[in-house]
Amino acid sequence: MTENALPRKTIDVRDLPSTLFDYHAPLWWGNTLLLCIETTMFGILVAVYFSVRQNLSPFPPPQVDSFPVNYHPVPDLLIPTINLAVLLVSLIPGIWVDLSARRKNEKAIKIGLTITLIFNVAAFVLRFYEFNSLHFRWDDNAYGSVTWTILGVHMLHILALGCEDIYLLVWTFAKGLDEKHALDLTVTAVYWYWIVGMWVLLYALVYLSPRFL
Amino acid sequence: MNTGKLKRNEQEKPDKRKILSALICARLLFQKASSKSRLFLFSIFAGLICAGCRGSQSALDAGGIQSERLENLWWIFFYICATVYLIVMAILLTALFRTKKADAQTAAEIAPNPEREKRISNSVKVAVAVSLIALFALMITSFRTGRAINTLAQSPDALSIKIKGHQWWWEVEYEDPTPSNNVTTANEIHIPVGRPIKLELESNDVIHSFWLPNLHGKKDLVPNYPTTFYFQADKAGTYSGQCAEYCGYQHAKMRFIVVAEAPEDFDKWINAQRQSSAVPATDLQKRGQEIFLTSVCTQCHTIQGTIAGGKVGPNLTHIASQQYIAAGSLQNTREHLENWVTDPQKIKPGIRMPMNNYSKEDLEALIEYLENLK
Amino acid sequence: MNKDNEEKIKEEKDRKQSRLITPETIEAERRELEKTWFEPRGIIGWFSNTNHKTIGLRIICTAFVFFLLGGILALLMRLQLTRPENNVLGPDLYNQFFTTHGTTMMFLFAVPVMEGMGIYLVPLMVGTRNVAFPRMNALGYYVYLIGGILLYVGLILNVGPDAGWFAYVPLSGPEFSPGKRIDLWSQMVSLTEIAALIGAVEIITTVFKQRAPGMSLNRIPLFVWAQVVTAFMIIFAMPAVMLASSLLSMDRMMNISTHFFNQAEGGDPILWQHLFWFFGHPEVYIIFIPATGFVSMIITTFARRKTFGYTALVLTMIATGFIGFGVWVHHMFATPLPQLGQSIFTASSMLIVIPNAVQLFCWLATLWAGRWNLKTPLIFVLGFFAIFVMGGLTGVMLASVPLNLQLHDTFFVVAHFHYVLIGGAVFPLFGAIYFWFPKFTGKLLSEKAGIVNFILLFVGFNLVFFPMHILGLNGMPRRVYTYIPETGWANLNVLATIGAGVMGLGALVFIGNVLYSLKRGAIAGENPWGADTLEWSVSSPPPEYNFQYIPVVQGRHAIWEKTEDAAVVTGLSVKLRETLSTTIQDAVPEHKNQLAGPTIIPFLMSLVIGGVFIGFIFTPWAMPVGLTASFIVLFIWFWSNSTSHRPFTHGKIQEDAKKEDGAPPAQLKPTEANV
Ligand code: HEA
Ligand code: HEA
Ligand code: CUA
Ligand SMILES: [Cu+2]
Repeated sequence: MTENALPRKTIDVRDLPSTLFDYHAPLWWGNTLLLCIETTMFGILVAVYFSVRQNLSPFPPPQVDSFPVNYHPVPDLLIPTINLAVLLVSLIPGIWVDLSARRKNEKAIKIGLTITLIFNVAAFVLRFYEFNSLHFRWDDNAYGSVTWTILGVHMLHILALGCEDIYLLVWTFAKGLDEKHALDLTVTAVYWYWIVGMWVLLYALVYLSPRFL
Repeated sequence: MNTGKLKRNEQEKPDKRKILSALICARLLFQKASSKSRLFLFSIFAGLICAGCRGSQSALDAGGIQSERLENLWWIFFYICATVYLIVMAILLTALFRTKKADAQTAAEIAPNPEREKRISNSVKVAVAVSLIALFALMITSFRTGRAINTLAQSPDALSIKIKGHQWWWEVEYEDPTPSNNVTTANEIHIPVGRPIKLELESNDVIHSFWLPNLHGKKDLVPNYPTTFYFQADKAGTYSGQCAEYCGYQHAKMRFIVVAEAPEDFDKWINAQRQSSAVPATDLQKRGQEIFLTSVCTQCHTIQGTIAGGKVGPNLTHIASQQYIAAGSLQNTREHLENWVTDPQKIKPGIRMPMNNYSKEDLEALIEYLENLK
Repeated sequence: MNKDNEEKIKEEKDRKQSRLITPETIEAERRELEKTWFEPRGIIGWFSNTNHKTIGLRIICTAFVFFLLGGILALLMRLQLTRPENNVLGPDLYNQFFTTHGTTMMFLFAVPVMEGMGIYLVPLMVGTRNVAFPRMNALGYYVYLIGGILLYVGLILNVGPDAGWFAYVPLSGPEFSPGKRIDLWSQMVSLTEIAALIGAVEIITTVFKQRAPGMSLNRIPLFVWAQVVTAFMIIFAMPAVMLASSLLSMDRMMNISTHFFNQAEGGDPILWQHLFWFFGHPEVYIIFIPATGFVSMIITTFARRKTFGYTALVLTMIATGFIGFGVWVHHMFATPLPQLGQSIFTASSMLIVIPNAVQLFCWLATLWAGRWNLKTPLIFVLGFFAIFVMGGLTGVMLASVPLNLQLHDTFFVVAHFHYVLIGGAVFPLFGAIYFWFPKFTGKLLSEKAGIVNFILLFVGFNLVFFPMHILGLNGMPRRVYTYIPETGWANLNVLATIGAGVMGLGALVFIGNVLYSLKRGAIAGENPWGADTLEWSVSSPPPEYNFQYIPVVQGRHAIWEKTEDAAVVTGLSVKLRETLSTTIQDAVPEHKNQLAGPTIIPFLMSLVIGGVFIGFIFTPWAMPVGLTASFIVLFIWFWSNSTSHRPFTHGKIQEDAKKEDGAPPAQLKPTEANV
């Protein structure tokens, strides 16, 4: 029974691979669970948004400090929509990187990653201007607070992903591609899909819902 | 292998002693657990005795129909749950005393005999079913009581009183069609027996909770959520209650009393309260009033018929007629009043009222004046 | 770092492909493993160790220290309440103490200690060599520690929180709680929740991906199931409180001052209560479910028989997990909410009794049909039954709206939750410590002292908390720093205080027992209790690498159902920190997965995180600074990953990816070892 009793039968795993993609990889699970956490968090933010909406009528509250008083200050759509488009388009290089990582196509990855990074930065910068289209400051009222928080938290995710891309770029250029980082790339891709998908919903909530319901 | 045997040898002796002491403990456990049930009933009984004595605020001596219903509900829950508890303990203890003893070397039973398992699993199913029924019974009674205690809300002739929670005292306002007849007092609510009371609760700072155990359950006073709350006293008497939601520093001393009296007594009382404050009779009282009106007191307190119109603290127009000061936590006696006026921070640290140092005779005069505000 | 990693891999490649297993090769491989899995000791070890056993033990010990601290606070509170108009503490200290006591016991003791046990035991029970993300694991511990220290430094500097452990707004808002007290509290909450979330991710991933071959879902030990369910609850409950406390601290920040909970600007005080209790109720099951795991293991081992109703027990745990998210409003019955809505939550609170009942009766059945080996762990479990059941029943009383209106926020509630928390979590925990201490240390705890310990705790407990039921019914609200003599609450409070003293003695006996047994305790050997799960198949304490050969599991009770020709896994590298990764459902070997080794970076990262949260109390600029810092540290973190730079295993990836969880690949059929 003790460890050094000689085992009768053995299963030899010497020839098993050392990395698998998707739900075969522990890393993928780690990431997915992280996404569950983040999703719950956004879900709760949405709940907060609706509770604020309940407490404020009219909603959004009239903007009294502007002249003339803006009685129905729904957020503007121009920049937010551009940003949404940017995020959606950035999926294309994202998917490309994902696939090339599986095909271990180092060159494609270098190009694809660079493009995604550019989109990242673009989205990040645009987000700064997005805040203005809300008409309120975070400390004007609860409505301002919650919308700013939603935008801000999501912005942090874009930032995080940007950093991740930078790291992966530096690595691939410096040391070339390897199993571990092929996996990292695919996982990062999933993360990016999630960020974009999440934003589609949040965009609808923050920018469309005050107008149309 | 032989390492294993060695281990066994050296464990032999300790094991015996361990089992012995374990059994001793088991017996102790048995005594404790079974006597526990008796203890339970007994101490509830003891609890009731405590409740009986001295104007205590027990949920289990009802002064109104609602609290009576609640009390019945409690006893239903209590007896059902107690039975469940006793049954579970009984099963456990029989298991303890009928089981064959074993030790770490006893071969574990991994393929127990099937029909025995079948029998056991049947009894488990029965037990679960029974619990289900018990639960259902509890739920139904709970809902029915819930509906019953809310019937008061329909009564049209309810007397309506405004209660406002402050850190840490209760503002009580009896509204009247003719504004001059409004009565504002603090921490002491008079109500007529047998007539539904409608409380309009609101808070002007943090969350408080109005709780009058002998008459009804509690209701939170949440800022921006004005609510109403119906109750009724059927036994005359003085009931004490207390703020039940933690509201900071002096949450403990945010108490109040409810005086339930015959309707005519109540009318007497309310009429007395409608009068403006008693005019000082003696010189000493005049002196006292002067001191009061010329000191900081007026910034926080109102005394009807004088220039004192502060709204921060309780209304003192009829302070002398009240049984308690310091929000129901200090009997309204002369020396208590003195202590309070000179150094309230000693009695209720953290409240807004500052300490005042009056000379001996000034204090004398002031108290004389306040004692006169019947 | 990466360089020698490469070499090792090459060595792997041209290592002689012999399957020969002889005592010599075993001994040689063991020595190799010792070298590979060696963890730095001493001072360096303190900041760089990544072994799940070390981290687990650290969490457990730290949590116990916090238990003692919280307990001492409790003793002081009891002193204050002994007499009416008592002045031992006074309002300010009392309010800080009960808040810190509650916060400590919930956030710094109960949840972490359960996760600590999981971090230590789960990898052993599922037969793997370390948790899935060793460095994250270490990070989790440091963050938790920083959070705890923050709270107590605050208390010592007289900025201890004083708004209750659920810090209701507006009392905890900027207007009524100026100063830093509540800010410290909310940051501390966020820090500990980060730690909890990390632990949850670790446990789920480890259980899903690293189980020993043959441990299919329906063979996972019940304790591991409990940990998985708990982990999922953590993942969906903790974000609520983290977010809520962050929103609160933003409301409070001078130069941010948002309005989430400010009713004047469209915010809402009730919203806080919803957010908090949406976390708060699952929280109590997050504490309770791992304890049920202990109970199941202990009962199975000491009733010397297979667990009755394994499937039922698993399902009830999952059911509790789900329903636990649907009852939170039962903490808010007294608030001005619509009646109808409330009775729905009465129903759900009663519904959650059913799984508890099933669980309870399954345990009783196991005990009924078993032959008892009545040792301290089992005795503590008996104590669990005697206390928890009563706590649960008072819970049912509280679940009824009308009764709740009388009992809410009184000492009856205090009694309820100590019965369920101490009876339902602390007693099983003590049992578990007596049970696994031999595995942790190689020494048995003294049985005699154990029984004294039990009696003191059990008697003491009932002395403290039973009278509180009556106090509550007699109208004593909770969180009062004193009461006036007229109320007639004094006598029962004296009883309670005496009881607290007795419990204290019990705790001291426990401390004594541990210290004594560490020195003079009887040698435990591999499996002193004749238990059934894998951790008992290795030496005590287990080697750093847990298993030299990962075993192949043949049944629910791995050791009891082990046949003579049980196979083991060979071919894992002894030069790299490799462990086996298997399929989720049937635990079929899938790939070899290399784990990270000791490093100091998690500690640095924890400093950054702690810095951000503590700095944020004073200035919002902590945010950007912290972000930059963490980017740098994380960059190093990833870059220095010792598992990196591994050449592709000859394009195998694609095919194996296709080979889904099904029959094991041909070469994985057990083969006769030529001995
Ligand atoms: C380990 C932690 C734990 C556990 C397991 C529970 C279990 C339960 N709790 Fe408890 N609870 C707390 C920890 C816990 N609670 C805490 C910390 C608070 C206070 C927070 C605060 O305000 O500070 C609280 C408060 C609390 C309240 C709010 C009280 C108030 O503030 O007004 C309510 C109300 O419904 C409640 C209900 C329940 C119920 C119905 C269960 C059920 O799960 C119990 C189920 C178990 C049994 C019922 C016993 C075994 C079953 C049987 C013997 C079968 C037969 C039974 C019957 C037929 C009835 N709890
Ligand atoms: C797991 C959770 C847990 C545990 C174990 C405990 C344990 C204890 N609690 Fe707990 N308690 C809570 C969770 C817990 N509590 C919560 C959540 C609240 C609500 C807070 C709030 O309202 O906000 C609360 C509130 C609370 C109150 C109500 C305060 C009030 O509302 O006014 C009281 C009052 O008696 C109390 C008492 C005790 C006592 C006597 C113990 C005893 O069991 C303690 C036993 C342990 C010891 C006595 C420690 C032993 C240490 C020594 C003897 C010193 C030796 C030390 C060294 C050698 C270093 N607790
Ligand atoms: Cu008001 Cu407590
Ligand atoms: Cu609850």
